[in-house]
Amino acid sequence: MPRTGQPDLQTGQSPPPPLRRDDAKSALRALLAYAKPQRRTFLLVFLCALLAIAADLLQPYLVKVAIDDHLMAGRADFAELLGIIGVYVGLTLLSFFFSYLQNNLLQYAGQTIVSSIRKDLMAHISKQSMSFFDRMSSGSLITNVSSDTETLNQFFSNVLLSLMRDSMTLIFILVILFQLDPRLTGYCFLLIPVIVSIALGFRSYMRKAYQQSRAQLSRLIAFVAENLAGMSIVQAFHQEKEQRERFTERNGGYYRASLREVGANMLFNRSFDTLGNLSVALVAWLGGEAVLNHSIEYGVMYAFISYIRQFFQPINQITQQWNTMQSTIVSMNRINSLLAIEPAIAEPELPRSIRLPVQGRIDFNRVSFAYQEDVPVIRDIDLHIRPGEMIGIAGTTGAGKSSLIGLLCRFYDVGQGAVEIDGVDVRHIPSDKLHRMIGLIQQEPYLFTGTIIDNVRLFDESISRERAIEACRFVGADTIVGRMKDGYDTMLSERGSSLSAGERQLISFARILVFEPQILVLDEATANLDSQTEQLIQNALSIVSRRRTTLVIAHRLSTIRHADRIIVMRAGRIAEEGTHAQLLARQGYYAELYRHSHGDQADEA
Amino acid sequence: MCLFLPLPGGRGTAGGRDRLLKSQRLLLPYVKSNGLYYSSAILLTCLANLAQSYSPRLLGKLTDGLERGDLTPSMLLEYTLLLLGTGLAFGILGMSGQSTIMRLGRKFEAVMRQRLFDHFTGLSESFYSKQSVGGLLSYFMNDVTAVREALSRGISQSVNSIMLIVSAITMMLLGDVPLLLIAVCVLPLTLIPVLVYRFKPLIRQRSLAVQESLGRMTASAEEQICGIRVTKKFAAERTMLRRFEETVDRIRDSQVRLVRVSSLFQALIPFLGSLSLAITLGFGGYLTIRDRISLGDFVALTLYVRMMVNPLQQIGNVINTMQRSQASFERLGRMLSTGAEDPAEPSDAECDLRHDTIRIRGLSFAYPEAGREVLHDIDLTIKPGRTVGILGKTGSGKTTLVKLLLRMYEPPAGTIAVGGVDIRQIRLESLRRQIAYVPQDGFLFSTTIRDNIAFYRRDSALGPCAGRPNRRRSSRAFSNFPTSTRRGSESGALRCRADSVSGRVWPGA
Repeated sequence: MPRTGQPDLQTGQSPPPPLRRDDAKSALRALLAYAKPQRRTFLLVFLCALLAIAADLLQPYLVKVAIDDHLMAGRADFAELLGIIGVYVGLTLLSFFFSYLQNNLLQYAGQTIVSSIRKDLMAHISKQSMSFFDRMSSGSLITNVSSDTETLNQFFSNVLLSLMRDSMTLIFILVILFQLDPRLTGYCFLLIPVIVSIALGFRSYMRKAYQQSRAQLSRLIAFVAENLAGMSIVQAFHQEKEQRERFTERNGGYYRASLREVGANMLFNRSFDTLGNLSVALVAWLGGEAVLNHSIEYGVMYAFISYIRQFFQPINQITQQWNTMQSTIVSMNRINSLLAIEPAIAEPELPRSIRLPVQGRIDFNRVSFAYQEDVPVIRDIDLHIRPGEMIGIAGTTGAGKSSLIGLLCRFYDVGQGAVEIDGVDVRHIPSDKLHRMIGLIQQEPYLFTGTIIDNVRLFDESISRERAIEACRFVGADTIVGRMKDGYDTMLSERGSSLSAGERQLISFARILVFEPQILVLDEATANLDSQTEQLIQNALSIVSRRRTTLVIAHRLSTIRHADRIIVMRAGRIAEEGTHAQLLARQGYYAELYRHSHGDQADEA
Repeated sequence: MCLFLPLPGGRGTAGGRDRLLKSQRLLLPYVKSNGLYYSSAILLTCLANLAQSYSPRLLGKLTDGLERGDLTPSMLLEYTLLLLGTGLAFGILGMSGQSTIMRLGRKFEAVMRQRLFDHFTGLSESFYSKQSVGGLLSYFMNDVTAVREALSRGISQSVNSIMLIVSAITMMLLGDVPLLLIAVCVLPLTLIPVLVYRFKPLIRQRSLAVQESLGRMTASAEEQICGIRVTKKFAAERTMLRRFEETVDRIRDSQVRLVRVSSLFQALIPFLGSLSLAITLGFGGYLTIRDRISLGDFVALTLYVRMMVNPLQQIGNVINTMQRSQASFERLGRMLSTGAEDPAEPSDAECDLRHDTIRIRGLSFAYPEAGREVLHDIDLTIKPGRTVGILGKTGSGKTTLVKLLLRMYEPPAGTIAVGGVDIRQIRLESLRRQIAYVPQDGFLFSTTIRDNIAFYRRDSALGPCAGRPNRRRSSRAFSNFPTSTRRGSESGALRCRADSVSGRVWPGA
């Protein structure tokens, strides 16, 4: 049978498109803005580099003086030679000291800048609204925060250092060479077009080779990671041989790309080395002739040979920074475009005062909403909830239950109509106030790395330990905590993987109690639990929901059968409404769902 | 060649020797089978360095000629051409040698990765249950790369630097430079390998601390971003940001600590080189003034001293690369020898679940290293074509039972039989082909939905895949997606549905 399509063409990452000049400009501008507060340190770094290089490059000159004035002149004055050596050692120490200082200062400045970018970036991400997090994969955001910023760090510690040090070295060498003998320097300038053409010729080839091998490598890693994670599936379907073949194909792709990369780099380095050797031969010839004609002294030729050897290293170094430079631009632009995203949900400009604690009256006034245009999720819902009422929301996947909650918490803004709490539109309530008055418990409770206490009070030191413990006792989490090694100070790691789903949920219930919201929302909070744990949670719920307006979304209709009122949603509308008994008696949609739900439970168990 | 094997590190224990043997088995066959390439590459490198070390001597002779004033223009041209020749020879020979070694290293890397992957596909679920994906990936990334570096950079640099040093010293001795002078001038340089050896572990340790702080920051970022819904719900952004910022500040501190050592090290090496030159200038200059050596020898000496800084630094690097790769060698050797548990009986029987009855008798099972039994004394007979429901609380052993039927874990001998044959004797492929298993966490591969559904038969046409979901009323849900869908972007319910459909495209079903 013919293959209907190459399955993995889409996942093989293609190398990033070539950079435009504008990209580079805007990236550098943004970097400069961050570097500005550190300009004094950078000035200091520059001075240190200047001194270090000067001290370093004067050394061959001293040897030249020694040769011409002492060794060659036949003056057997060892004392003067010792003086020169003294200066030489002094310069060496200076160079040592200043290059050490320069490295440390530069690193400090770079780190300070990268730290502030990281903090800004995270603060900016935290400001975004929920739709942002739906849209962006958490993986790419983490990459932005951790590895893109790390690339910037590379920029400061490698690229900037090299640009500063190596370009200054080049200039210094040229100046000294001119000082020594302009004519010979003129001949050496003939080499410059050769160097430039080699550097330019290799640059684009090397960049391409580098990008290709990176792309192949990430394709390989992604494949391996996925197969390791899904190995049980591979084995259960007996696909080992096929996956091995697919691996071979990717492995070979990376192998070939990496060979190209290594080959290009080596050819480039070697041709610079060879060029250095050839130019020594050139200087020996031209300089030797000049010495024979007595137009220069031998020492000058010696110094020329030393300097011309040192001339190629900085050029090589600078060219090696191209890759980092390029990825810096890519990373900075990614960070920039992230920083440019405005939160979709704007804070109210004129917040309306609302009396706290709120009563808990909720009104959905003819609300419509769509994530994407033309695909309405909520259609003209009119729902009014009394303070302290317990509402159950039923409906199949995609009926719009969670979206309704999202509108209440203002994760999204309504398309039409308004959502009001105690008669105040949620769009007029500052988001931190709004979020604190609604306690939302979701299907998968999220626990942070930290102690139980800190997870209950969310690291807020202003909430006393006693209050957190009391909350745990209230929801019945105290027995679980009592079994743990360090009680309430037990460290939870990896999102509380040492706890069962039910235990994690109990802790998130305690969290709700500590923050005392007036409105409680449970979004499938018990869907993942077996019936025993659910019972425990139900008890906790009945305690927590006392005197609070409570909305419960549940697949298992048994969870909401005791609600004051049940809303049955279907395709974004309220299909039915009433108590459990009323709805069953109607023999309508709810009754059908209820029958299904009982069948489902038998399947699940 | 024994330099390129993991250093024994003075361990006399049997275990140590055993591990050493295992890692040798990774490397030696490869080096041996490419012996011709390796020896010619080493020969090329040696020749290149001989040529390179000849050029200071040429310049020294040129200097002597110039000083004595008996240099003719034709001799000058001859020297120039010789310099040109040695320069070109060094470039070309050196590059061919180095590129051969590098290529061989990359090939080894590819071979190694393939071996690892093949090995991983054969490991059972009891192995995977104890490992994290990240941990396993580091075998692919860090360890294989470290070994490759040892093999390519290690060989190329050590041959290069040893050869250059030996031939430089030989050339100096040939040029009538007294051994004592050479020894004294080179003395500070001999500190370089010591310095590298001393400093690099410290640098490594601190750079590991940097890596660790980076890792902690990434973990914290991950936590912040994944837990953002909770954070936002409790308006706890400020507290959480503070937690993140602490990890950011820690990176800066550890980085500054690292640079304090590493930049000291980086500055010390040229410092020692300059010190050597100062001595050369003094002692050599003194001898030149006293006419004990010629000016040409003095010039050659200064050039040789400069030339030796790099190779000496490389020797220190090689020692460190070797040490670092030793751990990786051992890890890889150990990993490749953790066997896919060899079945006690040969598994070559076929089964036919359309007609065979599955019989479970007295089955008790505990996960390896768990101690507690998950299944106790189960008796069950499943006739072909029957539907059997399995009920029970979370953790009561339902999934375990099914996994044993698939031989994801090996059941005890004589407990499960298919058509009268012990399941342990049935070929895995024959067994698994006929059982459609829909696991709880629907795992999708990053490929098209079609390929995820027809995972078993990727060459099947789209027809059956589209047809099956139709019956499950999921076709509408799928048709909304673009043709390629990455894992994780669709809801758990959809993921499960794709899985259950994939269970349907089954030859036996």
